[in-house]
Order: sequence, then C-alpha cells, then structure tokens
Amino acid sequence: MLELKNIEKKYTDFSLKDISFKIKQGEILSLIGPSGSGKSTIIKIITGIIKPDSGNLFIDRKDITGYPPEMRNFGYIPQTIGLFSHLNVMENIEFPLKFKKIGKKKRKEIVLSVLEDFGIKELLNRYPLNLSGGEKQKVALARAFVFNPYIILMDEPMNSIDYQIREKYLKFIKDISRKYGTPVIYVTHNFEEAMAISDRIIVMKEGKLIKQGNISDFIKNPDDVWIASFFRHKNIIFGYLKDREFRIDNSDLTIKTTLEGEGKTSIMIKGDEIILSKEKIFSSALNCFKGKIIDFTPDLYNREVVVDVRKVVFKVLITKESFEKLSLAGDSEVYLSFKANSVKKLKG
Amino acid sequence: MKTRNFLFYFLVLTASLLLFLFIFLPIVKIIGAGGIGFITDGFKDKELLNSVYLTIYTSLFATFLGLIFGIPTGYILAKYDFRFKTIIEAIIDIPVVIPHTAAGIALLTILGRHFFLGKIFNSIGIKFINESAGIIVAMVYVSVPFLINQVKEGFKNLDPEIENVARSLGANSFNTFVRVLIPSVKSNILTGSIMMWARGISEFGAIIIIAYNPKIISTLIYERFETAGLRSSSPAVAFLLFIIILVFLLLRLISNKKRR
Repeated sequence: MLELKNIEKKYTDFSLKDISFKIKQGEILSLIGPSGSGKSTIIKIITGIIKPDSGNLFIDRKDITGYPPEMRNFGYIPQTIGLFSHLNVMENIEFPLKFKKIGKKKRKEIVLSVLEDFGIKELLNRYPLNLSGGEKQKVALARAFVFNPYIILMDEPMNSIDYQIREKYLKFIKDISRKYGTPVIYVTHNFEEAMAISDRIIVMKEGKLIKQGNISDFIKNPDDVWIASFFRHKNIIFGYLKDREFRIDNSDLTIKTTLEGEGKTSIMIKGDEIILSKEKIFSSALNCFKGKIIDFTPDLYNREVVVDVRKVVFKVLITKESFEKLSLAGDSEVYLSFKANSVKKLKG
Repeated sequence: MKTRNFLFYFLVLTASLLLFLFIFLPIVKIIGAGGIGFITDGFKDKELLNSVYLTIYTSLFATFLGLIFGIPTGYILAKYDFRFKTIIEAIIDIPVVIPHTAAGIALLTILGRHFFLGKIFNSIGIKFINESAGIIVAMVYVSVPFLINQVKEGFKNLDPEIENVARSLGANSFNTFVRVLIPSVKSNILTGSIMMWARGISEFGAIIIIAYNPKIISTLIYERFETAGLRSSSPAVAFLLFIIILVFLLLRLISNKKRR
C-alpha cells in the first residue's frame, strides 16, 4: 500500500497543500483536476523526481521519502510517453530489467512473455519513431509493468492517442492492471477518462485535495459547485434558501426542497430526475412548472432537452424513445416535475 | 502571380549557385592547377605526410578531449538554470569570436613555463610550448565551443521526461546519462564533433603562437608560401584538400545514414 502523508511543496506561484491519501493493492485511482491544480507535481513527488518540502511517503509503512527514483520501484509513464528513441521495442522493454540483476536469457524470456500479454509481439524490432500513438502507449505500458513495480504512475498518457480509440486503451490499461494486480495512479483533466478507468477518484484544485471517493459518490453527491460543474452536472442554480424554499436569483421562480437552513446557496437537480410531460401531471412531486423547449441535443441513446421556465434554464435528460413518443419539437410547451428531495445543496 | 513565383525561385537559385561557385572554384582551381600529380607527389613528400598525420592525430585527440569535457558541459547548460549562466555561455563562446592569434597569446599566458598552470603540467612531464600537447590545447580552446553548443541544443530539445522515466525504471544518474541521454542526442554529438574536428584541422593562428613546431599542415603551408611562394605551397594545399574532402564526404555519409 502506498501512502502520502501531509505532503507540501511550495513554488513562487503555486503550492501543494497538505496532501494525504492512500492507494491499495490492485486499485486504480484517478487524480483529476484542471491544469495547474498540482496533479503532475504529486506524481513527480511520488516518483521521487521532485522532493517535497514536508510530509512523507510510505510503501507498506516503510518511509521512502528520501529514496531516489531508481530505488522506489515505480513504473512511470509521462504525458510524452517517454520511449527511448535509440532503442527498439524489445530493448525499451528490456531496459528496466538490466538493473535488476537478471541474466540475459531470463530477461529475453520475461520480455517475450510481456510482449505476448500486451499483444505487441509483432512490434519487437520496431523503433519508437515507427509506432503509432496507441502502439507507443502499449510499449510504454509494457515497459512500466515488466519489472513488477509496486505501482504504475500515469500522467495524462492519453494525450498522444486519437480520441476515438481512447476508450479501448483505457479498458486495456484496466484489464492489464487487474491481471498483474498492480495499483495505478492515473492523472487526467478529463472526467470521462477518470470515470472509465477508476475505482476511486481524487479531485484537486489549486494545490489542494478537495474530494475523494468512488465514482458513484461523484455522480450522486458532488458536494460543491466546482466539482458539480467539473463533472458536467446540469441544473446548478444559485439563489436564497429559506423555510425549505429556494428562491432563484433573477427570477420569480421558487423551488420546494427538503433542505434545512437559511441563506445564499446553490442547488443542483440531476437532469434524469426531472420528469418532462406534455400535460400537467398531478403527482407526489412538489415541483411542477410550465416551460418552453428552447433546444435539444441528440446523443446516441438520450436527448438533453433544454427548457426555459420563467427565465430559468433546466436541462432534462430523457431517452430517445420518450423524446419520439412525446413528439417534442422546438418551442413546444412542456411541464417539468421533480420531487423536493431531488434538490441537492452544493457548497460554494 | 506566376511571374512573381518565377522571379523568387530565380533569385534564390542564383544566390545559392553563386555562393556554391565562390566556395568551390578556388578548390577546383588549386587541385586542377597541378592535376593528379599534386596528389601523387604529396604521398612522396615525407614532411607533408608527417604534417598531415600530426594534424589528423592532434585534431582527433582534441575532439576526444572536447567530447569528454564538452558533453557534460552542454548537458549542464541545457538542463539547469543558475546564476551567471548567461555570462558563462558568453565566456564559452569567446574563443570563437576573438582573433585566434589573440587566443593563442591568452593561452600562452597560462601554459607557458613561467605561469602556474604551465608549471604544474611541466612538473608531471607535460609541456605545451612547441609540443603536440600545445597544438591539442590550442585546437580544443578554439573549437570546443562548436561541440558544446551543438550538444547543448540536443539536450535542450530532448524531452525532459526521458530522464525521469529512465530514473524511475531503475537507472541511476550515471546510467541514465550514459545509456539514455547521450544516445538520444547522438546526432548532435556527431555533428558537433565533426564541426570541432574540422575547426581543429583548419586552426592556424592560435597554434603558431604556442607550437610553431612540430608543424601541422596549416603551419607547413604558411611556411612554404612565405619562403618559396605560391608554386611551392600549392601542392601541399591540394593534397590537404584532397584528404579533407575524402574524410568529410565519408563523415557526411555516416552522419546522414545515422539521421535516417
């Protein structure tokens, strides 16, 4: 198990503040946040490339804070992939084994078996210059796994891969990590990548760790406005809460909630918790508003219908079938209904 | 539009052709004047052969020293930012921009028998004045900036993550430097070495100040020109050009093959 405890690092224009987290054996953990949030600095501190000003790193309770990178036994894949251009695929993958006191014959055996596992045997004698983005990615991954590291650290490695095949490679990374049982820390600024690969997610902002949890935590309970926006949650609304009623800023619309407290705050209503109907429905939902469709965006399976309700824009997620059944079109008048307890309070 | 394009290409090609002729004509003239006889006579001229051998040997040795000291220097200048770095870079370039006789005199002030560095080397049996060692030092002094600057550019353009990855894969700093970084900039090292060696071979000003004897090829050509005129020095020049053209063609071929 790798543990970071109270890691701090100060630069003139940026600082990493009190970073603590753990990663268990076999787990895939994503560090996610916008550019400049400190994700890459953390990865470099874990690899030993950057020394923290304070705090400690432990592997199975052993303090490795002062260890140089070559003593840590971590596989590192940077954004640029970092294959050695003067070595062919075989030599690149063999490289870490040369420092493990393994005989030449055994080294070759190990490399060939890894090449087989990664499905890149035919690339054996090719040089990095003659590999595609995806092939480079696989070779770098094979080189990182070949020496049986404690952990694999990947810093936005999908940047060199075409968007269309990213999903395939993310699955590949996940499968390989499961097969070898090696934990992975995956740095990204793309929440879709993080969702696709992770068991757990840590969100960073301005050098601070602001939330960690599993994927469903982030979907069901994003907690704060910034996280909700980052994870592309819809219907984040600002206003004033009093007596369980939420008065929306710059509108006369009031939403009934189950939220306690009083004061300026923000709320979120998930798009798939809003019922869209052509006629007013009488149900247990305390909120029912008449509005007009102003836009809709097709997805493969869903439609995001944008509805204007007294100058407040709601985005409702419905299936393609429902959209067709209701014969919806732009300018159609519709009703939106949602329960009071679908309204979640956000911080910030 | 078509006329404009034609005019552009015509001017570019004319400028290139004129420059090429400017470089090539003196070479053709001097080799052509004596014909193949200059070359065959050259192989019989013992003094000339010794001089060519000395020039090649000293310039190769100078390049070897340049590699040993120049590669780490280029790496440090490319990788680290530190105080006075710009001043240090400017100082490294000084030998290229000052007259080489001045460089020779500057070197003499520290390598002469009466100066401290000269005294130290003298005490361990290395003398510079009128010795091969003096020729080598003068060649290194005036030509090593070419190598350092090429290597520095190579390291600067290298992805910094390459070093981080090598370290994480188990290579210590030395192994990373020798097994990964140096091979990654090998084409810069090769180009820098060729430039340094070429500059070393053609050096004259600094060398005659420190070591007029033994005579390298440029000193010998100068001496023959001064004492016996153009006719006497031309065969040596033709012979030297023949050898240099051969060597450089070979090096270019190797360099281009490696780059491909």
